[in-house]
Amino acid sequence: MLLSELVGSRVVTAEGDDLGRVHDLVLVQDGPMGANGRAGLRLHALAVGRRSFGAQLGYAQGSVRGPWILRKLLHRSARLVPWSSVVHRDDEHIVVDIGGRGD
Amino acid sequence: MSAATSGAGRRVWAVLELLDRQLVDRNGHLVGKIDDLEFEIDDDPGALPRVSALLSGLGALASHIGGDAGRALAATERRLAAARDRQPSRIDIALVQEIASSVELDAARDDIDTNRAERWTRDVIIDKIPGAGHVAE
Repeated sequence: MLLSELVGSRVVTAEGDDLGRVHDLVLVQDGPMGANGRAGLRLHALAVGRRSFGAQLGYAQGSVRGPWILRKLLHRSARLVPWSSVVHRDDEHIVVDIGGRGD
Repeated sequence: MSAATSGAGRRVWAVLELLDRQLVDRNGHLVGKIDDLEFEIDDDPGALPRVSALLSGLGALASHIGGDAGRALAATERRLAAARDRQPSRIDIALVQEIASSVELDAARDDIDTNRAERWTRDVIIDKIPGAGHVAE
């Protein structure tokens, strides 16, 4: 599976609600130790919905923190859907069963 | 990854923090940019996908443009690549030493797959030019 196969895919709930397209992936360095002795990066969540200007600059993700005035204006958290809620995936869609768990 | 950046549980935004980042070898040479990520999915149900490699090169670049146009372009590129037996350069994630404003690799440029085009140019074109053997003299 490639990142490019996920980014841009439309995410829908099992009930048919459209959550928008995937615009980023949340990786966490908490996987098994690799050959280099470091914890691997695992895919924990999909960031879905419209990719805002703040997200493009990194304010929505919290990666960029200054100047504070821009942080105040542009910080709007991305909607995250846990990977564990994915129940089906094809070339166009990712079906999730979030049961109200989406952030 | 340094102690400052490799702490367990560190969160990394794949598109924002990895795509288009410069790849640097252990000697500081630029060896390409990250155009895609490869994930490995375990058979164990419920296991989270793990990043297994960084992909670099035209084939990978075509597939991360995004949207319907990007997917169509990626599909076309995959078909062409399969016909020509050409795939994006693949860098095993175990070679990644540091993720910061650039991504540092624990390998020399000549040992990294992204150097494939440069090697091909040198071996197939440059070395065939009369006098090429005297370049280093």
